[in-house]
Amino acid sequence: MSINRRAFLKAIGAIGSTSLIGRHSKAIAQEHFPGYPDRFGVLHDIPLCTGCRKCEWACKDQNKLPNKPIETYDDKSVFEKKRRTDAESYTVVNRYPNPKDKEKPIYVKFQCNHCDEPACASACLVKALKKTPEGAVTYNKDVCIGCRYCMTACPFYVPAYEYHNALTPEVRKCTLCYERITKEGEIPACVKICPTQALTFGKRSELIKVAREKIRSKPGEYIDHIYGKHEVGGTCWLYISGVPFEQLGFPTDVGTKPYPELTKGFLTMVPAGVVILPALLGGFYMFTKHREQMTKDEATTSEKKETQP
Amino acid sequence: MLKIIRTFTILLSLSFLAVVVLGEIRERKEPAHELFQDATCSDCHICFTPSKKDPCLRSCPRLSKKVIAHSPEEGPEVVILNQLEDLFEPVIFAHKLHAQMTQMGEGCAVCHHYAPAGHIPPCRECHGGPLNPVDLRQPGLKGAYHRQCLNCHREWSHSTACAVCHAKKTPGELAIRQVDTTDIVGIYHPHIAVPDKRVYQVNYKKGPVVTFHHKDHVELFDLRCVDCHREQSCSRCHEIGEKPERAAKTPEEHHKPCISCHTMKTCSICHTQSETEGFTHARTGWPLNRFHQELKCRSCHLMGRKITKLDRDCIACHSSWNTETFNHSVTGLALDEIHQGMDCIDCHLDRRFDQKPSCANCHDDGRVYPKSSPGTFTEEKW
Amino acid sequence: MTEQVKETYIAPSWLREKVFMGMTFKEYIRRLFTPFNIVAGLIILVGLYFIVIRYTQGLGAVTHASDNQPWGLFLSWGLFTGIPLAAAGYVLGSTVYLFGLKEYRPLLRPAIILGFLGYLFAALFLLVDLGRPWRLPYPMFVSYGVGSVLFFVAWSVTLHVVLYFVESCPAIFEWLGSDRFRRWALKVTVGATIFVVTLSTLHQSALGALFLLSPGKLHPLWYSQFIPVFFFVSSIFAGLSMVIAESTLTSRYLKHRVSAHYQAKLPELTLGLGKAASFVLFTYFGLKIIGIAHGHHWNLLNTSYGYLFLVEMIIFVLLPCFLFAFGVRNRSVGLVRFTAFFTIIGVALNRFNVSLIGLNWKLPHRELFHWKEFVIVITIITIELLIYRWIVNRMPVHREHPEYKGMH
Repeated sequence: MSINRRAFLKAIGAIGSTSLIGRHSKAIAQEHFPGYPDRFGVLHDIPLCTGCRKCEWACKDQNKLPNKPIETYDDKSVFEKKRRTDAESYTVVNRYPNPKDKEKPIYVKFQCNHCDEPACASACLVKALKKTPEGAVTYNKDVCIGCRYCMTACPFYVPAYEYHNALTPEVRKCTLCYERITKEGEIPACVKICPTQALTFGKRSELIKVAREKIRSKPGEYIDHIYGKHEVGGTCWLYISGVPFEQLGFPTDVGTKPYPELTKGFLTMVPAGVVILPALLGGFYMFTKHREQMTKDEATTSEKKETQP
Repeated sequence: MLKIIRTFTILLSLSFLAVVVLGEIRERKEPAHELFQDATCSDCHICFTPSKKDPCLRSCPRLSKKVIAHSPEEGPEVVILNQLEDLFEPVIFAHKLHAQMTQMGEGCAVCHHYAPAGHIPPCRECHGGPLNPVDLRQPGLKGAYHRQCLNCHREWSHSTACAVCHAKKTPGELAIRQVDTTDIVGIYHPHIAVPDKRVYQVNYKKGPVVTFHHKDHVELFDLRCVDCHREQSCSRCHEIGEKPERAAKTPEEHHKPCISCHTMKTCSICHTQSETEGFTHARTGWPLNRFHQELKCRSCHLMGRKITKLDRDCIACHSSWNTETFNHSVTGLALDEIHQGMDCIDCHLDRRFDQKPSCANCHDDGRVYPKSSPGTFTEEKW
Repeated sequence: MTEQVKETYIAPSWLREKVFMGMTFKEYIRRLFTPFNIVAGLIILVGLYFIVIRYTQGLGAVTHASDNQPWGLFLSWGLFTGIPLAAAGYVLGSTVYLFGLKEYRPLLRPAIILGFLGYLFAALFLLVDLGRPWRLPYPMFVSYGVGSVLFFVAWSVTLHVVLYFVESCPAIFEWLGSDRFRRWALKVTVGATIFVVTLSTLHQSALGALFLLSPGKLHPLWYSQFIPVFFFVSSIFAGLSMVIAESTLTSRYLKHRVSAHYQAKLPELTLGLGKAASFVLFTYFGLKIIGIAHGHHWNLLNTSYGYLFLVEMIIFVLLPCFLFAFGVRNRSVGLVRFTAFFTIIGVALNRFNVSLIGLNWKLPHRELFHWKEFVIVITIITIELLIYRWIVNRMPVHREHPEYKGMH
């Protein structure tokens, strides 16, 4: 019995050490986070985009990805099928038919939306993905283990993976030109090159004002919705459009709740479980042990009784 | 005591009035003011006391369109866009050619969304610099140019290639090349002829012929091209690349441009058995007399409104006419002294000036006009 | 084969006794060439070839390399199916130690070995699947993503491997004949069990909680805020079925390693486990119905995904539930054993539906997995089987060690 009690105490000690983990997860699962106040973002005015794909070129140029001469980007045949981001392209432009005017198809630039509370960052078990106060969701390749949970978690299908890199594969996605905007004081490469300035870079709070004003001043041209203002709890890329967003391949079923909230309930349960369950199970064990002891005692006393007379 | 109460009451009602009036003023704020809640007055207004009549606005930022008709001839023939020449060779923009192209559309306003009377400010006057990081609302010069050019060109040629407009700058070349515009000057868009009329044979038995008097609509009813040619674009006339198949128009679509004005439900107005003549005012049941014939339609049918049937009562238009101001002799009948002082309705019963005047109001001997005349007939006949 | 690797400096007589099962080296090698071993060896050779390819040319060379569907067969089988099947360990652990149902003790050791191997091989699958496998300990020692469910899963898998190893220690030390270590290991077994049960409860549900982050991607019939509960409850009957299935196979194919005592008790214990499984299956079915009602997804049942869901729920949950009950009532051990295998397929189907088939269901084109992935999975399962056999052949798992008889 005494031996087993010691074992039990050891178990308690082990529980103590895990509740350390528990404390951290509690800190994560705090009240709603309103977002960094001065975060940057980009407003994509979809009707202004002419599908020239210069942003794709500039992005590859900036991020040192395999690139082709800028003239080749005039090729319109790539629009035949819908493309997504991959390990060698952080941004792509897709074409959608325009219900209002067949002659002018709608072009939509697609890249990481830099969520205010990113699902990918909350999925990452080594904190390789992080939301910076500047707004960018950045990736640290030095700790990434390559589990690709971020890709499963991302509601927009953004992160891509270097599947053909055998031993040092990285998760790849738009960085919002983090180095460029923080160290050089520049604007993102795609925004800079955009000839029609369909992309506007600035403080997210300012961009929302600009977007509202555009919608209000041209009621026929825009639908009254800023995509990214509330979606998944807010994103740093914002979009305004002339046609409903579901016609442009935007997921409209993502809700307005930040994704980390989805697992918050479970994660707060974990430390509680780590403390309560051992106590409960230890209790069961003690009952069982006691019952065994009782049956043993009864057996010995009855034996004694039999032998005494 | 009474005096105090009275003063108090007056003051109270005055202040109430003031509140109401001020509130009214607040209510009637220009919609633009809502957009610039953070701006100070001087951000937009040059003078200290802007009024509705003279808002003394700065030329930018401009959110609302302001368009006064200009002709292509007013503008320059060639504009050289060299503000961003550190990146590209200057773009030689055939301004006049493009201005002529817009004549089927909204005219200068296709590009110049702020085109007041007189001097039209060029793009760079408001859109300075390649980017405008200070005011995120306003595109920089680069954006302003490209939005204007690409908006049509992508539709026109389905190409967004830089080389369409830009010669790539050779790296290392410092001196700016002399711009040669000789190949552009004198090249104009051919005059878009306005057809006289169009006769359509349609599949409608009761009236298989529809005659559309195009010239009448343009010249008499002063419709602008864009009022009917709504989806006009360059590529509509110019075959560039493969043209997408246009879907056959539905009956609704066919009638749409007409029924916006011709609201009556009678088919026979357009659908006839044979070709019809152009518009004459007589067709409306009112052949115009020599004075009215000279007038433009819009002298009577007010500008900016639909042309509708007018009241034939003279003073419906000539509201200032009365016994003293109207010189009856212009009608071909100079009234004698007795009749000159009489009221119009004494003879023209119920103001029916188009009908024969009656003498029965004063004379009960059964005399009739014009056998017995109230004056002398002059040469000019009504 | 794994056996030869065990080169050691210890006297040959020891090696012969402990590793070669009393045979000489030559004799042992000769005895290895059985049809089963040859087939297994061939599978492993092909599989190892592809594993080498994976480590030289990247995951893209053996999988579809889809950015849309980043998780494939390695995780669907290795982690999401492997872990619930490894639940055998904690289910039997709590039955015997915590609830004091001592009569199930003969099944405890195999269950713990199942748990140990289940987790060890889950980790092995991760090593194949992870981009940088040597960074597997990073969440433990380098960078802590405490807000992630996967962080908790990583810790749990690691701790489970360690704890199940600790629980297996008595068997190992009995085999090695080290009495002192055996007694020391026995002392911590109860603590380890309590810890394993605690962690398993949370961690089986954590595997489900991983998908809480995919509300738009996972088909609504499988996505539910109760998915952690579903995963936990289904892991119980998965574990129970695994114990029945394992005992069936061992008592049939490894008869000589099984004690007469075990053989005699087995039918009665199987019926007991079957009864429990039936009850848990019924609970699970009820919970799933509540899940559907909660999400108002009845209309989705009449779609192709709905049919798949109905197959899973009716053929692989409700049917085994009744078959177990029927088998127990008629004391048909054979039926209970058959149903156990059936249930295992059902659990696997559920985990595949959640982690592979129902995930990204809205995407127009997707390939679920590459055949090379399948070969690698089969290879690793084969290795797992061989190791299990290796252990059972040597250690007192299904029998009591003659020296320690009645000393548990």
